[in-house]
Amino acid sequence: MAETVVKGYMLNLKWGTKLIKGLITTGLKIKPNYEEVLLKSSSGVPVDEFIDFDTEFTGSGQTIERDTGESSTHEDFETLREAASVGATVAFVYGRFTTGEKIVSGNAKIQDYSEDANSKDRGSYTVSFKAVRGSVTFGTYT
Amino acid sequence: MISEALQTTLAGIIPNTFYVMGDEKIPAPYCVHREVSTPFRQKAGLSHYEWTVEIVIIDDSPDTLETYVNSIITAVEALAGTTVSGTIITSVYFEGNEPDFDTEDKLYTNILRFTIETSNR
Repeated sequence: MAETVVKGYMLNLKWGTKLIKGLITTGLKIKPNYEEVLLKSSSGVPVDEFIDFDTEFTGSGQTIERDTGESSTHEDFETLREAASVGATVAFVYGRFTTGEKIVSGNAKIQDYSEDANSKDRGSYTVSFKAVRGSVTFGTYT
Repeated sequence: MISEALQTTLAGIIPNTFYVMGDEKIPAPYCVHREVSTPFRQKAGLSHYEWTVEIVIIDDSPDTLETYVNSIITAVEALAGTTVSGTIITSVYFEGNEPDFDTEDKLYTNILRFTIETSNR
């Protein structure tokens, strides 16, 4: 089978079931956690035993308000702003939103949200999410 | 394209307006403009174009040149929020100008710089 180049725009993020308006950049970080164990069987040599993993997402984009007709399909910077203030836990999906392609899904909370706006350019926002440990699954998009 | 909108706007003020290059024999006043585009993309696709625009105005009188400068700044800024020749112009920013004097031809020049954002080409 021929290799497939996964372009940056293909890797996207859904907050709940909705896309995020104005989103330009997404990031994913998976950090496995290990515990050092020293077993009799390992002859005095400590080994790292896998415990679990933490999953974090980041997103940044432009401050574009969703259209009234997009409220059922999109979040925007203002709804993210509100969600950040209440610490809501919401389902997420990250990956390629094409049937059969691999995705990461689970529940997450907003860890950090910020906006930046000068007097000329479009405003920008940055948001980071942390997945609820144990909720993350790796599957395919349907 | 934004060039059509600028050509129409500028020619309404200075009839001898040219895109990119002017005729060397053309009498002053005349105007030359050029536009360089940069497309911007989001996850959802192409979001907009940002145009770096340079408009050069040439005249033999510093006073009328200044009048043209002010008229052109006003006219180009007024393009914001309009659609011209199918190009949707969302914002126009005047970035500054650079006056000069050509000692060889004894002509005054002023380069106006704008950043224009459009939804399409």
